[in-house]
Amino acid sequence: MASAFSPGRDGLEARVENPDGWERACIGRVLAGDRAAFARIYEAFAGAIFSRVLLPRLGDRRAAEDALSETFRSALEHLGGFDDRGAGLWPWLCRIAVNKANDMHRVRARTGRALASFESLLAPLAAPPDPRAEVERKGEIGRLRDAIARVLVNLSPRYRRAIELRFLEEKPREACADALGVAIGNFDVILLRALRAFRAEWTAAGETP
Amino acid sequence: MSEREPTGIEAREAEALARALDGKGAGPSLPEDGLATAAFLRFSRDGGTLAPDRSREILAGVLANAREPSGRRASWWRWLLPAIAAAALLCVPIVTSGPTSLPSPRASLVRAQAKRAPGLEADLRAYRSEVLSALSRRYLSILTGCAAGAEEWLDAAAEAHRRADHALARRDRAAAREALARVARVPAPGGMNAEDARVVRQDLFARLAEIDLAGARPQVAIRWASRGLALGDGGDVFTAALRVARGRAREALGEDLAAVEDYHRALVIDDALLRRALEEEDR
Repeated sequence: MASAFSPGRDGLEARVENPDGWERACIGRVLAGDRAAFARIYEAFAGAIFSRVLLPRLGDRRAAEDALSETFRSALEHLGGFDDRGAGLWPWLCRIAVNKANDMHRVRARTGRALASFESLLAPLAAPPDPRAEVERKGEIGRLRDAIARVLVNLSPRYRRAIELRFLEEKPREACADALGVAIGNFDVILLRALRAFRAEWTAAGETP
Repeated sequence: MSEREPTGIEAREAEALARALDGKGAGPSLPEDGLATAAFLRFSRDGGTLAPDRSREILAGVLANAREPSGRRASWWRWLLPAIAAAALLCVPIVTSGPTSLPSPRASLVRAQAKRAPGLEADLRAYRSEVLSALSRRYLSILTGCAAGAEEWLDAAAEAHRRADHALARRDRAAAREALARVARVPAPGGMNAEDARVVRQDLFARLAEIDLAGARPQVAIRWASRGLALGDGGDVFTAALRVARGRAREALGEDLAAVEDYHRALVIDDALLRRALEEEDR
């Protein structure tokens, strides 16, 4: 019987056609000492673990990258203990990632890292996580941006502009303050108020049971 | 439009947030709600895409630093089995015995709830703390593994209430709702007694309903309260709180008959609780 995992074959294609077989084949090869097979697992799941699990829980790209590294290091070291139970690698990797994110929150007072979870803000638009559904993922981001645009319209023009300048146009503080015609310290206050106003509007629009 | 002058706290928060957004770390005044919202808006630009170069660097680091994977552990089960069997025996009482014996609410709390009297919040907060402590004591032991995550889940509920208290103190209902909703949505860990879990989740749902009532969103409040009541009717302060909240929301919507039903059930519960509390106080 042909293996679901064959080195020359496109990993994504094999994964989509027979995900369980592909995962089992990869795991078997990793445990036999083939680290390239682990790279395939990483390539298949790292992006989704980063964007769907770690970044929403940590809110900081560098921290999420560190947690991603820790997640996959731990996964590689403990792959021998992975118990499939038919659910596959995704939920197992998610559990490890959540634990790593929680660890970072626990020690943040010591590390001085600015971490904040925005997981709950994503909740109204959350779809069942499926790392293979990249097309659906792109649709989700589009819906998220549309929803944000609808909420921004409800803010005062000044607050809306502050958010657009700083987060959507990625301008530095000084340029944002210039654009609004205020001192930098005043811009900081306006931005904080704008964020709180946005959060309240966003929550009121979508945060329902 | 001119901005009102910031308070001292707000000015410090704004400055701390500006520093954090420039990657200069977290100061003591850093406002978590502002930071999370900023991170969320940044995330919306690209959905948190991991750059390919950075991804490759991380993979290279993982492969260079990870220890060899441990082999399959089937053989471990041989010597683990007796330990697991012993642990399972110890677990049986937690999973199969009745719910935790919780402290009774004081008469003052029940009276306040029945009358919606001032001071109810403080009484309820104190009682909630007693209840969560009692539950934590039960699930905090070497047997925690049997109800994996129960202690953590209870901690998360207590933390959510603390955050909600702080948020409400500064009149930030959105932050309070968010803190409570995050935990309320999570089902209790499997090994936890269902009644214990009901108490904790109903309390969260009742607070959520109250917050939306205060925010003039009675329809949302009804949905929160109904979700809580769907967990069961425990004949306790928490079920009564949900009934009161739903009754008030229904009343606000002009659904008087449905409101009366909820009020009536809450009064029946409070009446029974009050009798019990007074009997205990007499003893």
